[in-house]
Amino acid sequence: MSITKNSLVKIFFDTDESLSLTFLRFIAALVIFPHGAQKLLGWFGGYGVEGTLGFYSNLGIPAFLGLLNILTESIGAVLLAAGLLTRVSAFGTAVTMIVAVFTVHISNGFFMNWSGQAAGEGFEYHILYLAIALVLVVKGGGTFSLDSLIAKKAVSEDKTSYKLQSAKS
Amino acid sequence: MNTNIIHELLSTDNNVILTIVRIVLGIVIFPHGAQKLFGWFGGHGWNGSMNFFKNVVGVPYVLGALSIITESVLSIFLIAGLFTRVAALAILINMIVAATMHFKNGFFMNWYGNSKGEGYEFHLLTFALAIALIIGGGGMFSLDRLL
Repeated sequence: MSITKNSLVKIFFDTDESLSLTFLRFIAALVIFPHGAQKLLGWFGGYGVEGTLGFYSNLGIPAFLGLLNILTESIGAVLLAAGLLTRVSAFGTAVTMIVAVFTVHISNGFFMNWSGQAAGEGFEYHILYLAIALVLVVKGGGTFSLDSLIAKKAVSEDKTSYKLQSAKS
Repeated sequence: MNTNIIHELLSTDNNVILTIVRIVLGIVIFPHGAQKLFGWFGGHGWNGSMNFFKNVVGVPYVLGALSIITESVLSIFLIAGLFTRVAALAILINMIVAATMHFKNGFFMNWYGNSKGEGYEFHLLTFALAIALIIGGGGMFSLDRLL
């Protein structure tokens, strides 16, 4: 089976009208953006790109992947908010969460450091985020997403060209 | 009329995404409830938690008890998909109240151990999952679909 424009649209943009997805997408963007802004721009007391990549290299994460992560959390968050290439950004955040769990948080157990007595933060936060990201990877951006506009446009173009072709034959 | 409302409350699509959302939210909330109800996972149990609510947080007895029941029993309802919308709404309210107690710590969790406590970004994530369930119901494999 060849990759047609149609199948690409289906893979990347096609999504149902669903306000559940809109909520999940907005909150996924809202929560991850401050982390990205810390890492990319040094906002909210963050370390900026250089400081963050230095921190990553101490963890043994290659600079290329570190940079990809910084872009996922910053630009990816903006794309999530707009619902543009939702599946790609959501996949990026899912990978981010999985890597964060296995490089840092798994040793701290399940719970966040609610009572301030643990050695550090656990991974219950990451489980919540992963669930949201997984939904967005599978179902796309839902209502009020640029993805759904693009998918609708592609479908209507397709119908027009189909009509033209059948009119010719 | 009444049966209609209940029917609407329980109606849900055969959607596996809602199943995942429901089970994940239930699994993440339940340990907190079990800490407060049974003292599992290093928790304080019913008496300790109620004392904490009364003396430290300043919550009325009924609300403290409701919170413990919500986190323990209703998280099991979520996992089973029983009265999913009601359970999700209770958990949403519970987490909104909890979030207000974390406002003073700002947005971020205490990722670097240098903040005075946990922020409310965790709670925002639970809002998203709970709202998705309030809109969509319990989805595939939920007891709601059998009722």
